[in-house]
Amino acid sequence: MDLDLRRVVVLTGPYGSGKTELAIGLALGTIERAKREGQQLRVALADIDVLKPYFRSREAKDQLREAGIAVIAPPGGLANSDLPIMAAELRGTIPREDVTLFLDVGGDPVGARALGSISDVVQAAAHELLLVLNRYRPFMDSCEQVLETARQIEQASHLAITGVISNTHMLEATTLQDVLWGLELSREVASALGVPIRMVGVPEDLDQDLQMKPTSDMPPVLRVRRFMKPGFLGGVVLAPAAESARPQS
Amino acid sequence: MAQERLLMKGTEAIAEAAIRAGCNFFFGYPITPQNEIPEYMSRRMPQVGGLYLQAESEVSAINMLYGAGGSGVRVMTSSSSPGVALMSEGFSYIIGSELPVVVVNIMRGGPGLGDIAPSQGDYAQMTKGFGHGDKHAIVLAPSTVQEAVDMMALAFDLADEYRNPVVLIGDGLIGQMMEPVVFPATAPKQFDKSWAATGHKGKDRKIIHSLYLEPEELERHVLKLFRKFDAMEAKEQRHEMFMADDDPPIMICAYGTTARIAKTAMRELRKKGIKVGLFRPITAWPFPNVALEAIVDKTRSFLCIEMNMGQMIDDVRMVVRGRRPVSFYGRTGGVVPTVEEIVKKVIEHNATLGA
Repeated sequence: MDLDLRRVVVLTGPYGSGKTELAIGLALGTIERAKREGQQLRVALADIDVLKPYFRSREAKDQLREAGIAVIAPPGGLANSDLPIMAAELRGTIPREDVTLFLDVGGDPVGARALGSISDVVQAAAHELLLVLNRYRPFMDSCEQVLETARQIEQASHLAITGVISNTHMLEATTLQDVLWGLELSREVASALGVPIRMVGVPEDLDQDLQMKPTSDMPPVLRVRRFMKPGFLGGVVLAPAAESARPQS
Repeated sequence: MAQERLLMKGTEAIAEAAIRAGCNFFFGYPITPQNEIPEYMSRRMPQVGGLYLQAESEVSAINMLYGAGGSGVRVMTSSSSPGVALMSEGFSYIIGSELPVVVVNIMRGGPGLGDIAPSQGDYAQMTKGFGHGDKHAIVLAPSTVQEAVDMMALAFDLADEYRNPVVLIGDGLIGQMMEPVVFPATAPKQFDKSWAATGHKGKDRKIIHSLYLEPEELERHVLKLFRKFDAMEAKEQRHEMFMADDDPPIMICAYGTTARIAKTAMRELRKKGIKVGLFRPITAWPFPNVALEAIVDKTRSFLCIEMNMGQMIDDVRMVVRGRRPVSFYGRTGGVVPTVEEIVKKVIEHNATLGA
């Protein structure tokens, strides 16, 4: 599916709405498509999440690098800290016309504050700022509440939201009804903001056939794979490499 | 779509469940990986007419719990390993003064500043070493986000029932992983709080303290506390047995996230024809020794798995008393054991058992 994304894609939104999963999925999808089409494309993913301590996109850096994606994240042990650090190379990478960049921003207005510190270079680049929404998350009771969060995110990031990603899910328990129920709220929010719904996230393992017929007002569907889950649930994070045996045994 | 079903992090879910259990007061000090609890409380408490206050330290937070608990309201704090250690003295005062409060510890790697990764390194601190003097407190150890939700109401009820603090421990993963949760629709239980200090005007004077300068008097007080602790040991032991119906020769003993990893490993082991069961303490104190005692004779060997260097294993050994071998596998420093590691360990362990 060609989403025709701009060169710099910034994912923001309420805490825990799925920005990291989407950033990883979009970056992987972009490079895979480029490879299929025989294109030389530099793809980078920048993790500027200064809020959540676990399940950050930097934890998937090995898988991302293996796929040919440059990961911009705090170096070394600092990557495992809860310090509000942004990698120095980010500011220089954003203006580079040869790099397709996905920016994974921390949730809520507090997370968007980190984005505010690089808003000048983002603003100057061909970019889109996408608001990711999952209606099953707390504090998503009303359109007004979401709009208030969106307004605060714009204020903190010094950037304007240009689109919405409807990403309502319940992990493995997601049904098609959930997706459509979430889309209702996303439509309301998008319409109030005067921006399009850029895509609808649907869990990859949702085997119910998508009855979403591609009508004229149906946004593109993005199948979302879940990377950010503990190793024992099949995720890529918080699990040492298979052969890292306990040192003394 | 009912709004009662939400997708939440363990920390958020614990906070929401506490509010629904009637907790209207939260005092705490930030520390990773539990910061979403105070964050959530700061947002929700004003909505429910409650109070959220960030204290200047963990020491002051626990003493704010003493004050609020003494007035009979439902109150809690949350912290992570080193922050909880700072609360030890106040926690002991709360036990000595017989106050019902709830403390949540989302454990991180130690010792010292350690790291912010998941750990079960505070098992001993919370079950044996949390506060000075002769004392105990119930310690609940959920292994899923939903179980943490269900336990918050229980924690407040047990605190009120025994007028003794209750602790809930979760490794960092219990706090940080996201799962679907449903909130029970039950209203908070009511308890007689005629002991509470709610103002002297027109009422009997009530003094809440833990100071007994006459040794005999303090001894009487401690013996009275121990009648409560005895009752807790008799009535509040909780555990889960998993894949244990066919009396498997190997029993894994694990709690929290480690028990979940073990369950995934056990499904693989069963496919390979290795009979292995799980004994999961749900109360870390009182340790479910009655249930464990009941399987000692039926089991050939016990394997404790923890995210530490071996702490619960002491409780297991005390029950098994040398009748069966008790061995250990653990990862520390915030490293989470993998399913593959546990499978390998059990296969090795099985080979040593012989025919």
